[in-house]
Amino acid sequence: MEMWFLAIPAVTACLCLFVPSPAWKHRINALGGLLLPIAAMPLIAQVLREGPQVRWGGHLYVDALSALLLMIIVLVGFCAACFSLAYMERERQAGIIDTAKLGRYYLWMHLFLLTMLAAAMVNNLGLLWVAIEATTLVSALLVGFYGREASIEAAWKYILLCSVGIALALLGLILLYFAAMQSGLMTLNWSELLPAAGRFDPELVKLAFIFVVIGFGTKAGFAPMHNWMPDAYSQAPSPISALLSAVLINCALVGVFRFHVLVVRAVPGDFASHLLLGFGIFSMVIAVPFVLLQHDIKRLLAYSSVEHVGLIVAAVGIGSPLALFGATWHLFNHALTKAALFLIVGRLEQQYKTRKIARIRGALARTPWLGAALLAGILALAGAPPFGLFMSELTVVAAGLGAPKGWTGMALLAPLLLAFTGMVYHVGKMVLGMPSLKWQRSAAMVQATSGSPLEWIALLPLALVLMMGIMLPEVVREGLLQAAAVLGGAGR
Amino acid sequence: MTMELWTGALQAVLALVAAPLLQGWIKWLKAQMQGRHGPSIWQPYRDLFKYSRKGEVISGHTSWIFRAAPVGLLTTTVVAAMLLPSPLVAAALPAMSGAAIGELLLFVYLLAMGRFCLALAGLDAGSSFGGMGSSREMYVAALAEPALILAALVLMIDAGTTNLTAIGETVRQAGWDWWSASHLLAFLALAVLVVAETGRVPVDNPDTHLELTMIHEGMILEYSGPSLALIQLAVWMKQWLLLNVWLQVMVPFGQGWMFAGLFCLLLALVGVGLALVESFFAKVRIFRVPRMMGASLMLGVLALLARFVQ
Amino acid sequence: MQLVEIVGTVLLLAAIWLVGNRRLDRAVVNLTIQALLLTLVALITAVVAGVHHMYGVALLLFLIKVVAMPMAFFWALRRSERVLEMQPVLSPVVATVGAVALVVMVYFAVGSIRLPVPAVMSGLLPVSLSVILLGILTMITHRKALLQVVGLMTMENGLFMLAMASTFGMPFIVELGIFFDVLVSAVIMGGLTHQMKVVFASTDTDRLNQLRG
Repeated sequence: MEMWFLAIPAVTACLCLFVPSPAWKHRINALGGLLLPIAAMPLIAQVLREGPQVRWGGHLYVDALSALLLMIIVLVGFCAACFSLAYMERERQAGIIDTAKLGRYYLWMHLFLLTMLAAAMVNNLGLLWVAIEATTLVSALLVGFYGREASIEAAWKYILLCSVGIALALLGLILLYFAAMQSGLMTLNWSELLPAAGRFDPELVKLAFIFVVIGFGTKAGFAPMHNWMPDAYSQAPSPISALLSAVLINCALVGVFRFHVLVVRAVPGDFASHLLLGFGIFSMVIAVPFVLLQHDIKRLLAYSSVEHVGLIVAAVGIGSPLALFGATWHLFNHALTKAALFLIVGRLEQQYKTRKIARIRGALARTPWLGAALLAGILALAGAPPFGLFMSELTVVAAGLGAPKGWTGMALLAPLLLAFTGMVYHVGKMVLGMPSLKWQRSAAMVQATSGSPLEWIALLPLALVLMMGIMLPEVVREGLLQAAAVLGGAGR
Repeated sequence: MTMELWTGALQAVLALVAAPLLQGWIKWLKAQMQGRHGPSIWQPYRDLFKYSRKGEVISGHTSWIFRAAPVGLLTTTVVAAMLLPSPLVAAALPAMSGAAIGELLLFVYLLAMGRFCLALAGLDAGSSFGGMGSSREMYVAALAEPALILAALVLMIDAGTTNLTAIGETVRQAGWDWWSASHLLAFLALAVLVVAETGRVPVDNPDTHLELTMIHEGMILEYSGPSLALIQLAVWMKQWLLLNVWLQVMVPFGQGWMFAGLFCLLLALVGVGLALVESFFAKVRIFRVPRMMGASLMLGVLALLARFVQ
Repeated sequence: MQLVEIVGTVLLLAAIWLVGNRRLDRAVVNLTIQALLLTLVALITAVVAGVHHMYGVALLLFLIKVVAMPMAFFWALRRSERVLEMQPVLSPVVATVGAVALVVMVYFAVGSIRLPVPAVMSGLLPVSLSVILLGILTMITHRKALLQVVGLMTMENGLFMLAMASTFGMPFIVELGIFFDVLVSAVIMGGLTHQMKVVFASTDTDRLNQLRG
């Protein structure tokens, strides 16, 4: 019974499309967003208590890793839905979108949530592929939502690059299926592949893994396949950017990680770990210059996503229990922080009518609350104490320093520090100082437009991250450890 | 040895007799497709008969080469025909089957020698059209030859011999398993070459005397009377031989009249194909011919690749 | 199964032709031919291997890729394109030579890794990989949005062929999902192309050059 929470986004999506009044569209959307975490909690709790759950005749398989992903989806989904209420209402009043478009926005957003929920829970790796491709399709509509030149460009690049990538992932899947068939297993169900993985042909599995890493890696934003990310994140409506960066990345990452577990069992040696470590460190290194020289705040956040994904992947590549725990923890922290930041930046963008870092000046003086939130968010993202990201980064770097190859830790640390400087530099320019004279003259322009206090929901994930940095609750720690165990291959 | 000579002689006679019929068939089909009444199937025989009775005009600027060339051409072609095994002969004289000499490389270069004679003849008269025709002919030939060798190589490697009789035997034993991916590519490559070598659209237009386009007709422009008859007969024979080779490396013919019938049927069908191509495609510019030959070469390369990956 | 390999090789030739092609309508025709060959592969697999769900796959392939998509593409072409001639990035000759060089490389690469695969796969693996890469090459060497979609579909054709030949298709439910995704992606890309036409007055992807850095 508890699986029926999957129906919530579907119903919400349809209702939002068909209800005529915009006010009710907003309300239904917020209600759907609120019900989702409530309805999903029992399942998550059950997984943590009783171990992996199998539902719907083996089609759904929820272990601790899926539960972690579910948690992120429902939490960020909730925040994004509530924030959309204020954000989209303001867009509607500004005349940027009309009522019909509002309905479509909610339709697609909730369908997007649904596809991500599916990606988190399906057992069959083939269906995982289908779900991830479906997320691409729905979110491409959302990326191109505004229909401007730049957003169409972003949507086109996004859907094309990700489709090509995901096609390569399908090639990997076919090869894996072939390997499974050769060892007498006619299935792609992860729960059945896992115990049998040791019998698969190593060469085939290797080849499959390369394609899967490239394919799902495109979706997760591994360099050098990350080009679509800054475009899509900067052009999508901000709540969608939050979903894309905080949730979607992780869905693709989990796809890679599930394969990784299989490959580690099938292929002796360090092949899979080294591949992930290489991609991870490369992504971090590539992201740094773009973070340092960025001029657009949302693109800045996108490149920071590339960097953090790199860190998570590298941590899984290191593979020690400490590193795996750091990876899951960092994944969770990063999702929450990035969601909060994109929402805050969305508000900022509406307030200042620009995304250019150079044109946002003295935010702390002009809009004290927003400026403070931005400052806190960026500091958290850069990895400053006492936020959770600081702790998880520390964990991963410590694991890296303890790895057989000692330079791994340094290779992780250097880009982190450089990105930190870049972030602090940018945020310093934005929030500190006094607004220019030119702005003071046109001060009327930035008067707060009407919105709902619900948009301060953006601070909720940030608060959670702060809490996790100060004191990690026992239940969260337990959940993360279990998820890390799944990453380490401790399935059934 | 006598056995082989007799077989060869029979094959050559068959080619001499049947080649004009094939030409007539293609011409008749083409006329039908273009909505014309067209000449009858037997017209090529009548043409040959007519030419042989006419007098001959020979330009005063020519040397002995001009007179020797048609004989040389026909001789090489007849010798080539003697090499090529024919299902029809095999069906008529089962005892002699497998007796054909069938050396593929020799066959190819005998035809090339005939082409050499014709090109010399084209140059000999010193007219501008003849020279142009000859140079174009050699241009096409130079492009076609590597492609031909490459495509034939794939088939020869699989048969383990350069002997057409032996290749035919391999094809027969393999049956339809002979049609692997690499062989398919080789067949396609050969098809392009057959079109080029027989001087048909889109490489050359056998029906025109338009100076801008002609290749073959340019070379033989100076000829008349019996010499022309010899040349025409040799050219038609070449067409017959090439189609023969193409079909034989491609289709697993067994022995007996049934397969001989099948062979004739396929030959007629290939004629339909050629007529269709001539009716529906325009002749390409001479400078685009390398592209066609390049395509054929690429098909040959792919065929070789596919052969070695398996 | 040799038959599958032959059909696959013809599909490979179609893909090579596509790379050098410079007319929009011929690209769609090419795609239709590819889809038809793919349907043939599915039918052969169904008959030879006796895998019954492959009949369903063949039917779906035929309906979606041979009938529906080309019709939609032609409809879109008639609506949005007045000039069917394209200006590809490379000249057709160079592109075709490049395509063949790519295929050669794939053959050598596959030949050198020596996968422990049965004979069926050893012939088809390089063919499928080549078709997949030729799809990407098509996307790189053409500017029109439609050709990018066609390139993507070519890639998918290569994948389908490999899946059918090596494992007699994926599990049927996965196969259904993939078809659904393919259909939806074509629709969405069509919609985006239309928007591109409205906003940029052209479907050249060269115009998409605002977002940098």
